[in-house]
Amino acid sequence: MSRVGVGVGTAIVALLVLGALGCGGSDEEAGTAADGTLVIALPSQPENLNPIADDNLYGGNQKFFNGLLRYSQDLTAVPDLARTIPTRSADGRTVTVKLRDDVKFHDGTPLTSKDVAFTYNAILDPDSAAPMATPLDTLDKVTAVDATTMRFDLNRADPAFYDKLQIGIVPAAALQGQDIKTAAFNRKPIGTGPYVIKEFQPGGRIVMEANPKYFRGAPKIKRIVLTAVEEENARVALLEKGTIDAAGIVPKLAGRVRRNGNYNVFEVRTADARVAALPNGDPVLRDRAVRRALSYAVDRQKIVDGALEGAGEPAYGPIMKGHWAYSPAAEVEFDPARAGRLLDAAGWTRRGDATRTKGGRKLSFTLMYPSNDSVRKDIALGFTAQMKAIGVDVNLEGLTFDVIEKRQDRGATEFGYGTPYDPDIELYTLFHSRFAADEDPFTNYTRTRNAAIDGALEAERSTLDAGERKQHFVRLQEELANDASWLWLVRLRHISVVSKRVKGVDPQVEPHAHGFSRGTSWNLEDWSLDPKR
Amino acid sequence: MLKLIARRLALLPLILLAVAAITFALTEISPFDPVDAYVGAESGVTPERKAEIAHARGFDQPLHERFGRWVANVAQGDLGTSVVAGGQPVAGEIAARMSASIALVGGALVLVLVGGLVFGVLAAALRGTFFDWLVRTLCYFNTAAPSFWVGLLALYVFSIELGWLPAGGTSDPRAVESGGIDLSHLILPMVVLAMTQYAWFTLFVRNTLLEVLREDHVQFARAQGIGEVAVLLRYALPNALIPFVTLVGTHLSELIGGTILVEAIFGWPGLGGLTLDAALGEDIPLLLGITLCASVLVVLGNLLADVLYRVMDPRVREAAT
Repeated sequence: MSRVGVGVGTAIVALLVLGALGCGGSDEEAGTAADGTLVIALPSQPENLNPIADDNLYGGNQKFFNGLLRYSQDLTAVPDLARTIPTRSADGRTVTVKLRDDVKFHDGTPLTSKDVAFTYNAILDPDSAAPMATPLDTLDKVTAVDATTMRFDLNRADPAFYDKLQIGIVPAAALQGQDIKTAAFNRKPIGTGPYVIKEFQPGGRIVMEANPKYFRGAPKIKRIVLTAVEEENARVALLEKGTIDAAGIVPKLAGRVRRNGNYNVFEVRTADARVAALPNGDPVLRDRAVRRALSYAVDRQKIVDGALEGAGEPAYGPIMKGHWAYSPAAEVEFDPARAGRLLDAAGWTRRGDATRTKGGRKLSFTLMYPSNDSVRKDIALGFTAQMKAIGVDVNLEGLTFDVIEKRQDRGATEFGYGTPYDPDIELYTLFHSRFAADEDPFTNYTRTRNAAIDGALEAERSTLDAGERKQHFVRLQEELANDASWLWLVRLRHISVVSKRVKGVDPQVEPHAHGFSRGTSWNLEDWSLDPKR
Repeated sequence: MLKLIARRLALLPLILLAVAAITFALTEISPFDPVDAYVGAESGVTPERKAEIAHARGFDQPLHERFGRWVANVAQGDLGTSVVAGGQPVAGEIAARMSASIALVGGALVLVLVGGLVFGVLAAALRGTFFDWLVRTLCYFNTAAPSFWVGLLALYVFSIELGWLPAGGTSDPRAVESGGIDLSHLILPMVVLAMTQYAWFTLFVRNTLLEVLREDHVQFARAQGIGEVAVLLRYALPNALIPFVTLVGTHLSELIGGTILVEAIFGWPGLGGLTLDAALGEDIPLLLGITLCASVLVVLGNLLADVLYRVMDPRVREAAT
């Protein structure tokens, strides 16, 4: 009797398993057939492929779309769907764009100015609750003047506006009258881009195929598969096994991939900095002398050599070295003796090797970091050890941002920030006192209220003159260093691993977060695949 | 028996309603903000605008009204839409991942049952020997080793060093046809998931069996001169299996919970990873949908265990009739 019972149970479970397996029985033979395929592993699958729904100006496109402009390898804005670089009126409040007339969407409908107007007006439409409406707050509306001419009406001259003309253009006909948030289009995008969506397997793979009618010529690699591999060790394992051809990896695993020999390992320069935000509400960090002393006490190069295994450079401010607006004046020398003198002068005294105190209070604070990020953890560990050397006690806590944002004013947080594009878009909301008390914790997180910083930020966005803007950015960087609410630590190099079979990889300088239209894959459509392994 | 099944299935909607009500209440007291989830975390949308969205979407209605509306929609087969799924219907997203989950959990369950029984019985039969010691040591070792570490180790050894098995995903990503699950891709995640539970079961089978072997009816069978193998399989095992079956039913939920880590290591597109995404994305409709699905599975698993229990234990069967 009992054996029958177990037999039934096993049979039922076995049936369930076989039922699920049934549909996939013949895949193995098909696996070897597709030779023109490039498999790229991403840490997570993009949820939504609709550029209107994207929350990041640098996120969209994903190779299904084109913007009006795009960045070349050296980050100069060049025409993409636009025929030429747009023209600005004398007051800077009207921008006119001429559109190419030879571009078709994947479904065969021609691209016209109506599609461009629809894309931008949909983002501005309050009903679509589009996150990108915030960076587009200088834009009032877009009007289609004729089939290939659009007029952008701005509420003020916006020197960073060309950065905002790179959003992927969607076909009005496919989305008109729909709820953008729930449109089926979000996973079956129709664009003008070099690749056409073929398959979206939730949690699994995204398959894209070359657009044979792409207006700049069909891409050379015919098929690209994006597969989501969350675990950083597993990504390297898949590279070693040859299951995937390209992936981003953490610096400490780069050596293993180099030894494998089948891959080119690119150390891509980025604007992506790691920075400790020192909130002005914290009982210890509200003391500016403490904040300034911390900056002298950090041996940034040592963190680069340790936590980043050399894949990075010291960071002293929000703008990267080599950027047109960069000022070396904000650079600080590693000088622990000076840090000690500053702390002594501010009353934080030390006995022997103990933690410094002032009036019975210990010089101690918490440093929070997102627990799923091993690189940030290593940086935080290196920082903590260096602080200990000057008598500052740092307690590390690995948390999620949901928890961190609720402890905004208690303790420091390690953030990642930085774009190599126009600094205005990110820096204004990060540092202006307007955002010190607003609902969103991640705008002016430290609650800094500094008139000199506000002044520099307002001045840089009030003119279109690049030389004049640079002066204001230089002043901004000096004021930020004086205020020291943000302790800039290091700027990463992103490690991009691409199979040696792939030719034509020529990485762009990368921002903190980006989609497929930037960084290493900015020219994906020009890559080619050598048939030999 | 049919009466039992009918009664349990009739109770299912009530259980689901209770689970849904509790989950709904939990999301209400959690810090999850449905408006934030709706517009995206880094949107910088103004508070006034958020209030408008909350009003337009009905997020500001009282709890019971929202729950009533949700139940009415679910009754019509509409589980809502998921932000994490790019605004697509919750039901479709769950369905797309269901087969991968069933294959993984079902396969691991079979391994746990078969492995636990075989090794548990052998260890009991050979108690005190080196084999018994080995089985127990491996079980303790496995209980102590985190599944995450075991998973990565298995990946290195069997995929990379030995090259026997593929390293993740449900099928070769290069394959033109997709959507299927290759057995070769299933083996590693299935075994690693099974290893989160098999140690416990093996030890349980072994110890229960040793207890039953000391009971009078077994001693009596031995005294009659019946061989030790027959005593073990025909007289002791059926009695030892009775609690085993019930516990398999209740441990199904632990096996399902274990998929979250295993799916992350092996890039397995099942419901475990989706649950994590839903929680991190504060995606309440998706969380509710997954909770409902998991509840159905657990209720059915327990029902199956109870049915088997009756089939196997004449005392319960007679008491029920």
